[in-house]
Amino acid sequence: MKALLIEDDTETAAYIVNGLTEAGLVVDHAENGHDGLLLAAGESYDVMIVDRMLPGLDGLAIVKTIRGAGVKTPVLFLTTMAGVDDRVEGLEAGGDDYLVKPFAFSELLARLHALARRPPLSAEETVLKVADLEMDLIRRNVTRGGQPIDLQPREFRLLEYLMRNAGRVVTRTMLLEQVWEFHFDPKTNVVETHISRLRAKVDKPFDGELIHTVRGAGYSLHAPR
Amino acid sequence: MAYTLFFVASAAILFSVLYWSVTRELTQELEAGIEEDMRPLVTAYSEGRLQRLVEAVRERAQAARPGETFILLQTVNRAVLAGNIISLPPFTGWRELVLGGVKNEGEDIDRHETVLALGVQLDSAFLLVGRNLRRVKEIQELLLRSLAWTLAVTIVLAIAGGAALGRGALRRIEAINRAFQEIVDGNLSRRVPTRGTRDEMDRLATNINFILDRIEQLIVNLQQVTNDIAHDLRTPLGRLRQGLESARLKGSSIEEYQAAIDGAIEKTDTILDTFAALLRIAQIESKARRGRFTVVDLSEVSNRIIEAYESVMDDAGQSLSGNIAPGIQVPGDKDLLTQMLANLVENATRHCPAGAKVMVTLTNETAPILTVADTGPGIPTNSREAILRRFYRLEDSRTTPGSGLGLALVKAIADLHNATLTLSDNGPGLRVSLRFPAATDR
Repeated sequence: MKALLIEDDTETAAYIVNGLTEAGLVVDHAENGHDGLLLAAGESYDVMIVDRMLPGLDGLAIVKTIRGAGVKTPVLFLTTMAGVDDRVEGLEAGGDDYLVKPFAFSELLARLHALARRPPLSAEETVLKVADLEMDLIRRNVTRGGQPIDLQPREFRLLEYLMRNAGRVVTRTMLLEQVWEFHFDPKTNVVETHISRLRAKVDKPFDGELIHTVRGAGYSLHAPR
Repeated sequence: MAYTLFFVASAAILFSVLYWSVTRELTQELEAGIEEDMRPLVTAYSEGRLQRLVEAVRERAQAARPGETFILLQTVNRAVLAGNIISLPPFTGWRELVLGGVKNEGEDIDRHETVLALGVQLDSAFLLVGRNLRRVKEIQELLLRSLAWTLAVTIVLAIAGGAALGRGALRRIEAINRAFQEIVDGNLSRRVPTRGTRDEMDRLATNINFILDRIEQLIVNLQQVTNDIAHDLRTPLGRLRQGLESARLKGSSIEEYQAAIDGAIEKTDTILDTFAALLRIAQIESKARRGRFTVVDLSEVSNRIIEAYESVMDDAGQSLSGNIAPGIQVPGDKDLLTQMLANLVENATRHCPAGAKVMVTLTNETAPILTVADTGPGIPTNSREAILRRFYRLEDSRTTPGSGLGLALVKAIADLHNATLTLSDNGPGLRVSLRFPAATDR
C-alpha cells in the first residue's frame, strides 16, 4: 500500500512516516502544500493523509484541486481540535475521513486501511459472508451455520460494519461514528456494551469466535485462526 | 457652511428668474400699449399727411393721462408740431429716455421720469410715443428689496439651523466617543446612550451597542476559557509531571517504566479531552456554527441515543426508557444535538445509583420540549444555576469520573439553538428540560 503524507510539522510527520513504514506501507512525504499537490496530482497512491493547515497552499485547497482534476484517491484530513466545523468542511472539500490531532497511531492506521480498501460503489454486495456467518443486506437477516440470529437494528448495523471491514481493525471511534453517528467521545462504554451483546448472539452459541478484540486498538471480525 | 451657501444660491437663482420674467412681462405689456397708440397715428399720416397727423397727435395728447403717456411730433430740426413734451433729438426704434419736468396726475411737482419710447421717422417729421416706466421700476425695486430680505433671512436661518443641527449631531458623536473611551478604559458594560427616536443617529447607536454586546460576550468568554485552562489544566499537568518524575527516580524494571508510560498517556488523554471540551464550548458559544444549521429530526436523535444507552444502563443496573413523539424537527446542528442529549443521559447514569430510572421524553404541544428525568439524588435548588458552569461539580461527586464540563456543554449547545434549559425537581431526582423555539417563533 502506498500513501502520501502532506504535513508541515516535522515531528508529527516523522511519527507518522515511521509508524506507517513499520506497518509495511510505502510513504511519500511532502512538507508543504505545493510539493504535496505536485505529488498528489502526479503519482498514484492508495491513500493520502493531508494536514488541514499548511503553509502556502492549505489542505482544503489541495483536495479540492485534485478532486477537480479527477483524482479519486481516498483522503484523510488531519485537523486540530480547535476546529468544530473542520469535519464538515473537510468532507465538503472532497475528503473521505478526518482525524483530530493528537491521535493514537492505531487509530490512524485502522482508518487508512478502511479507506484504502473501500470497495467501489458499483461493486456493492448484497450478501456479506465471513466464515459461516452470513448477512443478507436485502432481506436484512443474519444466519450463522444456517441458524438465524435475531438482531436489533443497531446491532445489525454494527455487525454489518464489522463484516464490511472483515479482517481489518476497526477502532472504537470508527464504530461510534459509523454506527451511532457520534462525533464525540462518550464517557461511557457504549461500544464495549454493544460489542458484548453482539458477541452473546453471534459468537457465544456457536463454535469459534469471530469478533476479536485487538488490544489498544479496537475490534476485528475474522474467521477463527 | 456648505449648506448655507447652497440655500443662499438657490434663493438667489429663484429670485433672478422671478425678477427677469416679471420685468419682461411688464415691459412687453408696455410695448404693446405703445404700439397700439402708434398704429392710428401712422395710419392718420398715411391718410392725410402731416396735417392729419398733427390733429391726431393733439387729440391723443389731450386724452393722455399726464405723467403716463407721452407723445411728441416734431420736425427734423426739432420744431415741436404737437404733443405733451418738449423737443428731443430724433431717433427710430425703442429707447429708454429720462424726461425732466414731468407733472404726474394730481401733483404739482416736476419729476424726472424714465420712459419707454418708440420713435418713428415720417418723412421730415419725427413721431414719438412713450409710456412711463415708473410702475415697472417700482415692481423691480420691490422685488429686489424682497430678494435682499429673503437672502438675509435665509442666510441667518441656514447658519443658525446648521449650527443647531451640527451641534446636536456633534453632541451625540461626543457621547459615543465618551462611551468608547470608558470602554477602552476597562468598563466593558458601558453602552452608547440611545433616545428611542429611531432616527439615523439612534439606529447607529443601537447597532454600536449590539456590537459592543457581542464584543463583551466574546471577551468574557475568552477570559473564562483562559481562567478555566489555567485553573483546571494545571492540576492534571502537575500530576502527570509527578508521575513521570517518580518513575524516573524509582523505576527499576521495564515493566515499571511501561506502566508509568501507560499512566502518563492516560493522564495526557484526559488533559487533551478537557482541553478539547473547553475549546468546543468556547467555539459553540461564539455561535459561528449557526451558519451550518440544517433541519434536524429530534425524534430520530432521541431514539438513537436511547438505543445506544439502553444496554449500557441496563448493565449498570439502571433503566433507560423513552417516550418520543415521532417526526419532531428543529433547525440545528445534528452532531451537537446528539452530543447534548448523550451528555444529559450520561450525566444521569453517572450520578444515579443502581436501580435508578432515567426517562427521555420528547413532546411537541406548543413547542418541542426534550426532557431527561432521573430518579437519582437530584440537585439542591441553590446549586442548579452553578451546575451549568464549567468545571462545577457538587462536592460529593468529586470522586466520580468526568471533566465537569458536560452540563456546561449542554448549556452552550442549548443556547446555540435558542433552547431554554430548565433544571427542576423530579421528586425524587433531577429533571432537565429543553424547550426549543416553537415553529411559529422561528
